[in-house]
Amino acid sequence: MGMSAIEVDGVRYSYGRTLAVDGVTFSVSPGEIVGFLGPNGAGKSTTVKILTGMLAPDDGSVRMLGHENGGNRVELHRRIGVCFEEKNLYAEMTGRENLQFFSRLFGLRRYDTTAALRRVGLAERGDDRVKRYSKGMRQRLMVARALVNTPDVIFLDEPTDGLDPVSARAIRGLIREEAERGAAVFLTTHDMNEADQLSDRVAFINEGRIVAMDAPENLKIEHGRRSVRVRLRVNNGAAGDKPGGVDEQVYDLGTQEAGELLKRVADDPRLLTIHTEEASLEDIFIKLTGRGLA
Amino acid sequence: MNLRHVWLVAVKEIRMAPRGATFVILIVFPLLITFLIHAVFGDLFTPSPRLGIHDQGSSAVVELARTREIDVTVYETEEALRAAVAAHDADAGLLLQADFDSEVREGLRPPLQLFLSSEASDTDRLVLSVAVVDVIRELAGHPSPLLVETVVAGDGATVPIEDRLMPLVVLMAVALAAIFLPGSTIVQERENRTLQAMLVTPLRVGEVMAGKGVVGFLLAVVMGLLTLLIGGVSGQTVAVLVVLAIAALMCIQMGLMLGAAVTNMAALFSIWKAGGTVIFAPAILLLFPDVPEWIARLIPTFYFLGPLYEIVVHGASLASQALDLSIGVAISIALGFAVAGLSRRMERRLAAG
Repeated sequence: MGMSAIEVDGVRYSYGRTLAVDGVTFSVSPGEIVGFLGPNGAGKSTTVKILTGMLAPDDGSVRMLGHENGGNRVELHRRIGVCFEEKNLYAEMTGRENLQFFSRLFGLRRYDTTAALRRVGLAERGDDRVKRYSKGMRQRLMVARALVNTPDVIFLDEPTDGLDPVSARAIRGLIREEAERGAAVFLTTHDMNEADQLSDRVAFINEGRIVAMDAPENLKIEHGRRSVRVRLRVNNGAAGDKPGGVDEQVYDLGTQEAGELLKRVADDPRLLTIHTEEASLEDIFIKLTGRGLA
Repeated sequence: MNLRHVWLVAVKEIRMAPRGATFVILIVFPLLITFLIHAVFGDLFTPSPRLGIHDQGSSAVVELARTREIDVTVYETEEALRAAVAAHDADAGLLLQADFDSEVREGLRPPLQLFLSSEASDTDRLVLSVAVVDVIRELAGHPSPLLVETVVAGDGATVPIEDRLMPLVVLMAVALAAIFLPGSTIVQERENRTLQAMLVTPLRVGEVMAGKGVVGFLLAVVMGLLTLLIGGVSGQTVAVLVVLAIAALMCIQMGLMLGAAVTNMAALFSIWKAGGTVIFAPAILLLFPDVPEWIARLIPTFYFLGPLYEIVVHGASLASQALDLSIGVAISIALGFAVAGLSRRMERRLAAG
């Protein structure tokens, strides 16, 4: 725990009578990407606000980059980067001016805006006003802005929202680069697929509590159902068979029945495909909380 | 408070502001109104008619003219005099020959050329013509056969309407720059959530407010000065600057309070419309000299509008207005504490989402 970038212990926070965060405890190490998953109102944003020092917890402690419960906010903020879900950029400024302004707030006199823009694929449009950017371009600029100060802890809220698959992949690559550099990445998202692809660990938060936190694979092994899906052609000329008819069967892996089936169908001439399947993070979330992420 | 951060916010505001329509309106609207009043009423604050004289000898006319209620400027050459009149730097120009005085006294009726500026108002032409004839009668030893007693009609109407409009025009320029500009940019930053983005950097909310305040303050002083200059006010520069600075200081606090308290532009406009009536009330009351002054004194803006009016219109000294201006400064400081409290509340609300 001593080496953690973020250490949260028993944090509670209420908005009036509404308990938003209820005894949350976790830690994030430098270089680790943690996905924080939960539906709207689960407590994700409140947790991020507590971590970034915007809100003071009612109870419990937060230690981030050596600062206890917000500590010296100016020094803390010097070392964090935040990418909000809302595209809160200066629309009347150019992309370059947005980055320049924020780099100066961090006291960076020789910040290379061209390199930063190039990193998120905006080098060609850096001198256009942000109001002329597409949603995806704004999102890429948001990520670039969050990285202006080469932060030790990065908070990313839906970082690939609105991006086409190619751009989303590029941004995921960039996030991995930041983690490899040693930054702790705290990713809040609804997108289970994104969390699965990016996160070293994921935390499921529901009604202010963390209901599970582990590596995605471990969660799938522990809580998910692994199965094998077998598809056999059934149109073998018999009367009544539909042309192109397919029979599909699913068996849980690890059972004796599945083992026997696999041996049996391996030599079956009707065999079309065999796929192993595992539970998605969403399946596990629903299993653990009884609700979806939407 | 980190002054470098305040400076960065101020520079950002200065660079951003001209890109929005609001800023253009804030600049153009007050100046347009000033020009309109200037066009309707003539010189806004009615300067004295200006007489230029080129004296080829050493005529007593120059000194006699200075005893009249006109501005007298002596030009070294006839060409300079003609150029000044042509450029409307003087409303009229008087060319005096070398032996003008002796010829007048001998009753020789020497020729006298009076150049009139094509841009001079009829009133100024008439005043200057009468003044010149009166001076020459005195020079010739023929004083006026009658004494005209001037009586002002109407109680308290000694100040022309164009002068009484001055506080209203200046307040409009100052208030738009110092109240509306910072107030609206804070609300826009809240609506667009760019304020949240700034507050997760080393910047603090007080520095954001101060940066916006600095820009509003400077713009308000410049706009107030421009309005007065367009209106033809000159002189008492230090006194006017001091009063404008206090005006800008008080209005800035109001603008920052507004920005910190209001969450959206629709509410801002509603408050501006309702509150504007109160803020502008002293300027409106000054239009009606019959209304007791104590009513205007109930409103904070009186404590810079009143002194400005006395200094610019009645030529009062800064020292004579010290009490009212001190009250104005005290009100500004009190409002500053309110700004600090509202800023903290705004930050809490932003965090609470």
